[in-house]
Amino acid sequence: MGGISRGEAVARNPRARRWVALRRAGTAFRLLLLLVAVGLVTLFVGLAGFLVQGALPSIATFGPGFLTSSSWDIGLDQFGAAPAIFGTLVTSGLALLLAVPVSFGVALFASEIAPRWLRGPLAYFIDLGAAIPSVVYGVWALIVLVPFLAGSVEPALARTTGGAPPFSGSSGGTDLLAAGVVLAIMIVPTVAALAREALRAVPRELREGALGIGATRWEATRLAVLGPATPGLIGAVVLGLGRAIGETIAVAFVIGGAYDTPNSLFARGSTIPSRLVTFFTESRGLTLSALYELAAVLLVISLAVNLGARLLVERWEARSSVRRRGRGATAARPPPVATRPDEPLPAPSWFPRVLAARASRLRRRRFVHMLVVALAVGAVLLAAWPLASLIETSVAQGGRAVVTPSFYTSSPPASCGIGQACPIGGIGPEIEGTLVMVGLAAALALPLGILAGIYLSEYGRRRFGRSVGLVVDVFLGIPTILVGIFVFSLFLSFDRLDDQSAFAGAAGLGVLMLPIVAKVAEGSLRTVPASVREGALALGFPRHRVTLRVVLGSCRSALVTGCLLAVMRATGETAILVMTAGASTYWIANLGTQVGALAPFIYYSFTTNASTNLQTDAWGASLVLLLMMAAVTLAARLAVRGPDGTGSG
Amino acid sequence: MSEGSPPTPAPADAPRTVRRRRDRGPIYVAAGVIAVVAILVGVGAGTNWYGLVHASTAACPTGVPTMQGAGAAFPAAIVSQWETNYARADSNTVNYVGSGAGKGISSLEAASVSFAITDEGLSSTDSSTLYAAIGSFLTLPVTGGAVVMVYNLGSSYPGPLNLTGSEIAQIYLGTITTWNDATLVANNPGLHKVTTAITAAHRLDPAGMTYVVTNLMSLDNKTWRTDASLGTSLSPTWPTFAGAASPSGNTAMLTEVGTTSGAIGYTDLYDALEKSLTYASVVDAKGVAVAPTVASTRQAIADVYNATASSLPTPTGDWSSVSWVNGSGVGDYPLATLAYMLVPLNPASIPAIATVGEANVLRQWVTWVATDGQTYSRVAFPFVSPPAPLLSEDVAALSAMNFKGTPLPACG
Repeated sequence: MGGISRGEAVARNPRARRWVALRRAGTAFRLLLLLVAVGLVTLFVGLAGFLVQGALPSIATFGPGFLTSSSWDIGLDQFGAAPAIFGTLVTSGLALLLAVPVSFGVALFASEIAPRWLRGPLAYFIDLGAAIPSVVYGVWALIVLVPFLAGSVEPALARTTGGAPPFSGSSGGTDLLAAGVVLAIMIVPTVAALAREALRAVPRELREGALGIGATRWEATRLAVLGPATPGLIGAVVLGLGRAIGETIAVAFVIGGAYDTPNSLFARGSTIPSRLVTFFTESRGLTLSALYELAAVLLVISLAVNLGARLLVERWEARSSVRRRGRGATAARPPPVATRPDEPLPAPSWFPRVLAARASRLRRRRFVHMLVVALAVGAVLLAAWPLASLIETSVAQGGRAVVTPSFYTSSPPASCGIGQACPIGGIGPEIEGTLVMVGLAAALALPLGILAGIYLSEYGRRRFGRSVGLVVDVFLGIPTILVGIFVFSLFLSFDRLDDQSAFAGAAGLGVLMLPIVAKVAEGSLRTVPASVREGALALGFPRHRVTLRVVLGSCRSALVTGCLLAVMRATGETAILVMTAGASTYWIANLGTQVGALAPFIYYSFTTNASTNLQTDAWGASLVLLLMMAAVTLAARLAVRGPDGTGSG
Repeated sequence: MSEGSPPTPAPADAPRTVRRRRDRGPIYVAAGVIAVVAILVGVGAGTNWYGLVHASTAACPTGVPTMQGAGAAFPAAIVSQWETNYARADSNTVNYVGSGAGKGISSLEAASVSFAITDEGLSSTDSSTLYAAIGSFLTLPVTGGAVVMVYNLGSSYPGPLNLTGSEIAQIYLGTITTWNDATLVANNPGLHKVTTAITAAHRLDPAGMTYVVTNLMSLDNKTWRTDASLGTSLSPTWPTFAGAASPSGNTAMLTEVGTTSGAIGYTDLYDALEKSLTYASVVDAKGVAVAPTVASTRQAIADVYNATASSLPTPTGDWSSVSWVNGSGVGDYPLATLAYMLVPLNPASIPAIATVGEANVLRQWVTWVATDGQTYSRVAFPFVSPPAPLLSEDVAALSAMNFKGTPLPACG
């Protein structure tokens, strides 16, 4: 019998046919993953490209003087970025100054001091604080925080310095101080959560060792935990800074909108994001180009902060000599080992100090410990007050509307005649708009994000994979207003499409969700032990089947939780929708035109001229958003705790 | 086979004992996704939900994309009533955002809205910029009302507050800084006990109501009139002094005055009543204090119209020097104004208006505003209709609207 070709051999044998088909599917899948990864990088390059392209006329006209000029005159075509940059730096700096001590106190309390039964609820409230949409914070700040600051805090500060800068003058409350305080309130939960994780990641043995030789609990923490946790703490602070720099809506509510560089915190100002969200969609020509340049400056600042943080953390970690739990042996030096079973371990450097201090200054050391505990408790109370006030205000103002069934099916009311009974109306069209846009965005972003996450977990250590991982991290950190500008510019450049539409809104939300889902998917996939994957491979599963069916299957709950959180993030997003979806209070008749949604509705009801009954509706919408975030955060917490019984409570 | 040898393996072509079931899961998922997408596409295309096909070729279609408008916050309450009632009458929807006259004009220049409303007839510079952007446009008076000076003195001063235009100017110049200033006490004896400092709140953004107030200030106060950076404008270079406040937007102005003791600002009568803010009576040219009411405003506008009817421009003309402030009759409220709707003559210059039908709907909307819409100026909404001849002129001018040069058809 003569030899047959390989193809014929394959064709005759059903098993071989099947195997070749699987091989091809695997290759196709890998190609798909690569496409998605390249697409992600292209997206980021596109974003930066659009900003730079839009800014070119302004760069050509003003040159580097743009960064130092303080004018903004549409008639004379004179623009400068200095007041916006000044406002951004001042408010973010103030926010960090206020938030870092409080967050570290909260983190310390949550990881070291809190009794076991309190840890779960505390972690829940920290997560809730981080999940509340910025528009809800902004409205609360406008209605509650600003009068409080103007009435109590600002006069007190002015009295202490006798009215000298930076506490001179007054502005009725909407000023740089209010913006800094609301930013601080917003970043405390984020920084506290990350700091807590950093503290908890330090191996217990170190702390127990210090306690074992007689250190007080605070000393044990200070000596044994803070050092190794420093990279994580730095990372937390810088992440908070990044969030403060990019925050748009809450700042726009309370900063006052003036364009100059005052020497007082009690004066109105602007930040780059607040300027962009207020003027971008209605500007054309050189004004628009100047705004693009502002956006490009914001992108550069944000990139510098994010990448600088990564560099700093990596360098610190390389210097650290402690092995981090779950990361394998990444320490610069191997941990000390005993050469004989009965030989004691070499002592850490701080042993002698603690032993010597022990007897002589016990009472003083105990006092310091108590002081730190008191400060941490104070930090927790300080962080809890704004959250409690926000919840209380939302329930008081919007509670009535939320329990009325017609609230969810009616349209927002028209203006109310003087002396007439005002209809409350409802937020039906806004709910519809949110569902449609978030649904469309999720339909695109969830599958693509999971594919990107698969790519990162499989190929994340290779050269291109590391770049893709970097792009995803950068995307996670950039201000959402830039995403909104990117999508708005994209739609603006196509003449046939309306500038603002439900499609544009969905596209913007999709771009927002994509890196979040990718990160979550990568994280979930990495938690699956290698043995599961190896077992499946040993049984003969092709590689793509292993990934899709076995590995994804085993981290299903974490993946679902992460996707849910990404969807909730998109639901609360305001800046992107203000840029791309416009405003409308009607039921959707046409997806190609402006549509309303929950978060932008709240924003418009308090910034453009709106009657009291419309603002009551907006409070109801705020409460609805708040309740949704609370429910999803609770579900996420329970899901994390559920399957293996040991939660991160 | 011998007994000691290992058992023979099963023959190669023996039937397998375990049949692997073909996994149908992915097929069901794919089928489900395709079904959902098919439904969405089918239903959406059928109802034009995706907006890819602009409205039908009917002369006056219904269900066109919502018409967008922007402009002055002054008439926002009455425009909201128009929107609701027009949607009932015509099954077409309008969305107006009262973010300020300046923003309305720049939005119209950017062609992101189909119409704008402003309290100031456009200056020749603004006019030429707008003309360059969207071509010829109509300036149509559609409503009017009173700009009121709201103040916050709480229970320390219960009585009526009477202000002249010159005093208002001095407050915003920073020369009158406390409520018990002698100039103010002359008209309001009860003020001599009030030692609160004045917080003079003006609009940071270009506002139609700023135009009206600065108009009166220019007429009554020499410094305000002669200073080149001040004068009558949507956005003058406001003098900065310790008591000056600059809220951005009408909502912020209302909040500022409502929460700051000793503050004074300006807004429309509807908002002052709705937010229960106290407002001042303004002293007219004859020295008599007139309170802002629908009657005094209507009378003011009528008197100014009668005095200037022959010199008023046509809807396509230049309205920049038209002023309704400081009517000469007895009982005329000095800070009266009309609001003008700016509409492009050729709506094809607006990207959102893509067909003849949609341009016609825009014309229908503005015509409805100038006719049926005027019935909504009742006492519950303290706005005033423009004089009837002006409204007729509006309707007549709308017939000149065209779509890329083709006259708009009459509705069937």
